[in-house]
Amino acid sequence: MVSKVKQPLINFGTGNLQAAGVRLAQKAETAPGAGDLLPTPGNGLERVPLNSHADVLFGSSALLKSRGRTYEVTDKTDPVLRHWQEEIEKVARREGLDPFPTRYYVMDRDTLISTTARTGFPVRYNHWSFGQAYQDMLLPQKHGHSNLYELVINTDPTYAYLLNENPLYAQKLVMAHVAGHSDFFRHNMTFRETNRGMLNRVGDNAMNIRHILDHNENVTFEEMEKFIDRVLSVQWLIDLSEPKPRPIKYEPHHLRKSVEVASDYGKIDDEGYPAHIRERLNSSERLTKERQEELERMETKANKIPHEPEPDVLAFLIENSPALKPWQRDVLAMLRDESYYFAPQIKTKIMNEGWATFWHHKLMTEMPELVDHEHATDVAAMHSRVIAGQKFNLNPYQLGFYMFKNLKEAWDKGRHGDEYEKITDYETRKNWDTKENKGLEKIFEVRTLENDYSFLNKYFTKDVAEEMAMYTWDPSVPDYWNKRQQVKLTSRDYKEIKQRMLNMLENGGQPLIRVVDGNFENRGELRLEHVHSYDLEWGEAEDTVTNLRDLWGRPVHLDTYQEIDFLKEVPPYFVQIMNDPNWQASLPPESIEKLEKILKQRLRIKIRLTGDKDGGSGPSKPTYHALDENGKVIGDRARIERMRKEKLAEINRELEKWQREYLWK
Amino acid sequence: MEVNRFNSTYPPSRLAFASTASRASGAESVPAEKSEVRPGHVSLYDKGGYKLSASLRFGMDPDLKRFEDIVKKKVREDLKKFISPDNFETVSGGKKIRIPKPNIKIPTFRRGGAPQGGVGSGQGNPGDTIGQVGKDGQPQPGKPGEPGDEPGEAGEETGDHDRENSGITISRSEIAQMIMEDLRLPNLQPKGSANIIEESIKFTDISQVGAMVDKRATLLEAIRRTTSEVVDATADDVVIQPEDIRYITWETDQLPQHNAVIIYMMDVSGSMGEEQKKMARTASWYLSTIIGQQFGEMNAELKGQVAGEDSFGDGVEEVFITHDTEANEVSEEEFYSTTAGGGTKISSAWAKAEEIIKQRYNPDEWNIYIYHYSDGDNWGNDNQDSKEIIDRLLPVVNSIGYIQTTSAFGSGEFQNFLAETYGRNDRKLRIAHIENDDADDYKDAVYEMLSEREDSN
Repeated sequence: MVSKVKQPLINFGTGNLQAAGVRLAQKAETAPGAGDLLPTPGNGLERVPLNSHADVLFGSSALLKSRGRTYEVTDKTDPVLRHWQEEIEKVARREGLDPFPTRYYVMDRDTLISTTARTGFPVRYNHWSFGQAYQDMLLPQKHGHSNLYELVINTDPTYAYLLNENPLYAQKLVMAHVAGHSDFFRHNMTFRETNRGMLNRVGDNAMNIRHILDHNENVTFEEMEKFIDRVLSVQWLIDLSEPKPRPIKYEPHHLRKSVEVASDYGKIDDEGYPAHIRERLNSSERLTKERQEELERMETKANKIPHEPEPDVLAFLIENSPALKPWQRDVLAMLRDESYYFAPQIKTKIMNEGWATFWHHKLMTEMPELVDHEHATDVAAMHSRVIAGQKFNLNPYQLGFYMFKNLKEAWDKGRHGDEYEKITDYETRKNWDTKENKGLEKIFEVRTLENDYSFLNKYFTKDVAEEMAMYTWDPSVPDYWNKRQQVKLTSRDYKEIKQRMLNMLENGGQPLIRVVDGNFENRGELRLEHVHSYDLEWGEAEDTVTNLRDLWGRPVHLDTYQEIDFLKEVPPYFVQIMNDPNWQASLPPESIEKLEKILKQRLRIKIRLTGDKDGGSGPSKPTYHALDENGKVIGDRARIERMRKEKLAEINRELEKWQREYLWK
Repeated sequence: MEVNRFNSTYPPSRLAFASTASRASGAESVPAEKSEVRPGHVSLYDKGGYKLSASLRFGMDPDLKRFEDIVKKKVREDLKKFISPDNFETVSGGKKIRIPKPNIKIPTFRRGGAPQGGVGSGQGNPGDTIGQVGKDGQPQPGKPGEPGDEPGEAGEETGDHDRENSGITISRSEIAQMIMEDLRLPNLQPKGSANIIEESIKFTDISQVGAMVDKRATLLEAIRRTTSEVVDATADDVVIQPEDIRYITWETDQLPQHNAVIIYMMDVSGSMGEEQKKMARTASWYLSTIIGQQFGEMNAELKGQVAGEDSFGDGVEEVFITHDTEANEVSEEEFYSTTAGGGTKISSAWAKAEEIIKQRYNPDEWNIYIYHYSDGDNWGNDNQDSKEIIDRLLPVVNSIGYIQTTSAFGSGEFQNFLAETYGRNDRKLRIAHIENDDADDYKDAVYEMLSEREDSN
């Protein structure tokens, strides 16, 4: 059951905040200490201590309702919604969900958008990107292109926001949806280490950043903003496979360097030796040299960092960057915590939304207590909007919903395992039912144990792909006739679709980048490597390397690969022949195969991006170097260009040969 | 005690974005207004230097404002780089421009490389074309060539936020000031001190006789009369009688004004391509912007008004002449779109300019600026003819500019001819050349045209 959280409640007859403040303040004068501010009988002034940033920022429900804007759903402010909240949670619990206690706030569209722009946290540090997110959301909202129904944050108790314009049936559906989210947050493995007090933590971070600005004379607003820009640019360079940030082993750089070498290092007890021997044994010149060498050796050893590739680049920067000032280190650590808080949500987007959608659908259409016959079609319409398919993207609500639905059905009817998989006959598959009835049990197990990647990997089936009418699409290569790139539907094979999706979800959809050397070539430079499964977006990668260079304070190298294809550069009629069925019919099949093999050749070059100029002193682009497989520099950009041209010439020669062999015959 | 914790750790002034913003702008931070906070009270809602509003409560407003500032700053940076007028539209009668919002984003490491495919859902068979790749590299529905598949055709949109979203509005005065500051250009000096007297109409008074009815005054008079005649009059009692009618009277005021005309001339012979015209258009736009702002400001000062975005272009006219072997006066659109063929006779344009000046722009009353764009190819003996006309024009104009837009076919010898004849540092005859559509070239050209020079004579 929902434990009734004691609400901070200030009941005023008037809605005038200022008056309220004065009255409270007067009260405070007579009663020392906040705890003593007890309700005085008769005046309606009632108060309990505030215990979270949300309380402070959202304020008391009564207070805010009087302003006609945001209020919390309670018995007093909104008995109807409160009734349905309790009802929905009761049914949800009966059906096996176990959500956190939930606090709903009803707000107008503008407030909901602005809160969404800060990913649901009412207080975050000031940064223009939230303003941008807000503005980006505003336009589609206004034109009704997108409908924002709710927002929920993963905390204990769960905070969820409702849009005040929504009709009751929509609010009910949203509350059922939120119950699903809250249950998922509470029980999914990926979230097991999440800080459930994040609302306060994020608020604290915001306050701390403001505190730095107000109390550190040397930090200007621009400086802070620039620093946050840089950190946000690398905010996902954390270890996404870990549910929890590892503890920071912070050791100030200057302390690390002061390796102690005894002042009498190498000295020999020379009593009793003749003077000339004594002089030779402990010659100050030799001793200083040896001592210096030992000092260097020890320092090199101490500076050998990291011992193995470090995916948590942010932690590495906090621990080792010689350039970060103390306040910068603090801010970086705070933002790293926030990244780790959001990481599990990125990794379970499909499951999370799917689970919530599955449950709002189940609760609102199957539970007699909740089904609203008058608005049944509205509920159905709303649900179908939520799970509407998109032409070029995946709708996580849709995919997750169908996967859970299918999974339940499969385990209800025993449609899993080898025996079922081997059936190819459509009718047999369709009528297969072993009455196993383990569906619910199975989906609860899955919601606990999986994340998006493993969920799709294990449970994405042909049935789901067919039910959702999924396909893969690809931009066509511009050929002789079509200069503008078209988008073609390429395949409906579920294995292909699955592989695509898994590729997209790898490492939470972020490229995997690790620190491999914190003292590259003993010059204190930072070397990172990109574990290559696809090319980076070069323009942005350059800027990001520059940002990293500023965070590190010394040159930063990023090793990655560039894969170049030549489809756009070869004579276009070859591509035309490859794509055109008429041509294919008129030529022997092996020739087309051969042509395809020639055209789809790629050149793979190991690239090093080096950011070595101070990004602060004007625009500076990182330089490119080509590397051999051992990581040795073999040339600069001109060399890369030359390699590309050589390969292109080679392909053209092969095409010419192919042409002589098959086309001109 | 929780409340005390908040009160002592987070005083309201720290929440106020204003205090940090003012520091950022270099101003002394304003001490937070002494708040009425007393111990024990959570003061976040109190007036610790900021006004309570819903969006501030969520800390949104400052971020949105900051973002908009950043966007505007970015636009200004772009404009300083002499971006082509094709990239924006002029609004408010040419006094302002609206420029699309620049794409501002925080760079991250992300997937790039070869054009990517994806996964979707819907109808279709393998091999079907289901859309096309848009300009932004993202797929979009529609087949190539179909109308309405271009991005950015979102339709007519109104409303404050929409306008904000669709672009940034900047006045041309501001652009001119920015560029002049950037290039350290001096203010333009009007020719002589002779100010042209211009008649302007000032509505000064309301009287019972006249020609133009002042509806507001008339109605007021009717109401006044009715209320004095009728007890407890209502709106229905008000009937306008002939004696209520009031007229506006005006005086003609004589105001000093500097007039200026900019004569743009362009070679449209076969060797001048689209590229060259684009360069001419960009250069002209910025020249007009600066001259328009300068004269607007001068005239506003003369009239005792405050110079601002509205005074832009006050008293400035533009004339456009195209020529190959003969010259024509054309409209601005024609100027940038006409293509002729054939040879080049530069003197024809100069003759035309001289004719127009004689007919319409008396040099005693007008400040005259002439700018000529060509790739410099001229018929052999025509250089000498041109020189004769230029020699006649030079004493009466403020400045003559020859801007050579380099083309693959132009020899550019007219520039050399002018440089040999008048020298490169002549005060009135300015020579520049634009090689590429590139900020530095425009900067150089505009600087050459408008910078300060000592009289060489």
